[in-house]
Amino acid sequence: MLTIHSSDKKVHLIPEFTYLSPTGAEREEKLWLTTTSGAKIMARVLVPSFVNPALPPLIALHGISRNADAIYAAFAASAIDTGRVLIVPRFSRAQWPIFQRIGRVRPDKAILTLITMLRSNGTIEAESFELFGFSGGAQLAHRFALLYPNLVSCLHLASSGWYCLPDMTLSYPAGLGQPARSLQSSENDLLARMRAQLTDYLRLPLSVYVGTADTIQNSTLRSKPRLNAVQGPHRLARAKSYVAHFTEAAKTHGIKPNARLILLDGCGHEFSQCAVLGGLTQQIFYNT
Amino acid sequence: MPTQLQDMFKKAKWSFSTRRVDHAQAQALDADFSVTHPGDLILGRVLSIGQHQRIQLLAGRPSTLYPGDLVVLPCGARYASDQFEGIAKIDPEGCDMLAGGGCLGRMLRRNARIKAPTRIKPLGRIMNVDGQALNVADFALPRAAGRSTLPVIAVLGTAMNSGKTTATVALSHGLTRAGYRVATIKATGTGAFGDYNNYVDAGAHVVADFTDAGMVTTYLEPLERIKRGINDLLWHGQQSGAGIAVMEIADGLFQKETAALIADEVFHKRVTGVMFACGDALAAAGGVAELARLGLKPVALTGMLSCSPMASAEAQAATGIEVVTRNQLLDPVKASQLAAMLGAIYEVSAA
Repeated sequence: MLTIHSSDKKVHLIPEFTYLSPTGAEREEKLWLTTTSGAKIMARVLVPSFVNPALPPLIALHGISRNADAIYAAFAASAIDTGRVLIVPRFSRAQWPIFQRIGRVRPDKAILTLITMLRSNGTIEAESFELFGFSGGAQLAHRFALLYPNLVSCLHLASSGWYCLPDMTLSYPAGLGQPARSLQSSENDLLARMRAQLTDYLRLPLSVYVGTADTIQNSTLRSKPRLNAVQGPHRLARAKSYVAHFTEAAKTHGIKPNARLILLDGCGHEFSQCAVLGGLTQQIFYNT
Repeated sequence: MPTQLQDMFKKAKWSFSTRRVDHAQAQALDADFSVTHPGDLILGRVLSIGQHQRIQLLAGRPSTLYPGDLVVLPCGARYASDQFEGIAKIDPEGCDMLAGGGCLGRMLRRNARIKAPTRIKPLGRIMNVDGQALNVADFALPRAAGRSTLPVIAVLGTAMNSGKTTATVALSHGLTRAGYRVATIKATGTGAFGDYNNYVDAGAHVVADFTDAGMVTTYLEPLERIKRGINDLLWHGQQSGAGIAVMEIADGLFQKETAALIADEVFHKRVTGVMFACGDALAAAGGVAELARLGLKPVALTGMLSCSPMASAEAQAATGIEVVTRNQLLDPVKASQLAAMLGAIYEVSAA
């Protein structure tokens, strides 16, 4: 496990909304998609003038504040600098009141539709991508990766409220064990796939980021006695717990874990603060 | 080549089943039809319009036929219980258009609900510069250099229109979205662009049918020829980077070639799993029993049956086999679950 403090490294400062290069050679696409179920999502896609073919695209998922623009603004300059295609979907509150979890609602299909469209129009060619999520987006990101580990080359989870632990002894959705309530057939399929692909998931390179001050317990944080007991009372504790669980599960399955915890010094549960002052952007684009 | 003949070849509507043929090799005509073989290309003129009012073109679109139109179709047999049964015979006075995708022969029987076939006057077998008849087999994919090891999900059904193509397409799409590189293959039947285009639309990595293996139709082809064609197509899929194949077998379990194929031990070894499409619970029970007699057990039931939750429940109770709907097959999670049950693995190149 690697712990990095922001005081140990150079922080990559990004002035907000000034991400395009003077040449303007980069290209931004705005896509509006309708999934097969009829739900719509929007995505901003940044294609640098030079795309490094060795770097997979980065899909970045927002949290429950739905501030996809903030993620786009924070990551754009580094995406251009490194030659990486940046894809930032936005799940609107009206269309996707819940997007963090995959169950009766299927945000995973929206992401897959987006990928299919970007492949078909030639924007991306890679068969896998790096997946980043902040807060609720991190919840979706790791659940997506549990379902489709083959599509994810690297997983970045920042400030997730809670996790689906790779543990068969804990009831789904807190773990992958027997659910406490009966599931719909489609949800049973989801759980079965997650279980079946757990070893592939545990082989993924995983980076978990959290602010050292992300310890506030309020209404935006799911809090239940059993959850708190297993994962911890706040996001900082839960991030630590998740990396520990992931590492342990990987070892149990005979896999050398590739998981690291990165603490963002002095940061709370605020994306822009984590991205700029906490060095989150630097970590994702330059330190993985 | 005389200019007039050149113009005729150019003006003619070449049917979809000639899609692999190099037109530049068409240099002459031979009016001796007594030596016609299945797959030989025939230049003909439309005499009268019957059941097939349109011909499927190379471009993937249908073209309305008019008396007097020049057409190029391969000679072939056909078995389609909803339409015709016909054989690969060319009668100099006139022959029958047996399929819109391009199949010319002599009709033997037809379904009572459809019209008589469109009639074609054959003008000649198309020859190359060496005086040899052009045959679709000459333009087939290269023969397989070995035995394909692709996992194969075969889609079988009770009959035409039982939902096999819908299931094949949906499963191919679901697997593609889940990250698989899918080879979607039509192993038997008669050449047409409908299924082929549906496979392409599903996003399959590789699409091929028996025409790509050199057969206009698999009806009346020897079993060994059909099996060799299947391996050629699977090999092509594997060489093209596919990680799994979804393979539709035309017609019903009792159709001659299908029956022989599913009774064949080599075919059993080639197929990793089977999905069975049918229309109701009784058909499901009958189909599952027939497959069991041959040593096959479907991994899932699907097709028209799955449109009805009541019929699905009946079928599931009668057979103990899960019924999956089109929407479920489209779901990347369900599709990959089925593939994983059959031992298929992802093969994704490093980004």
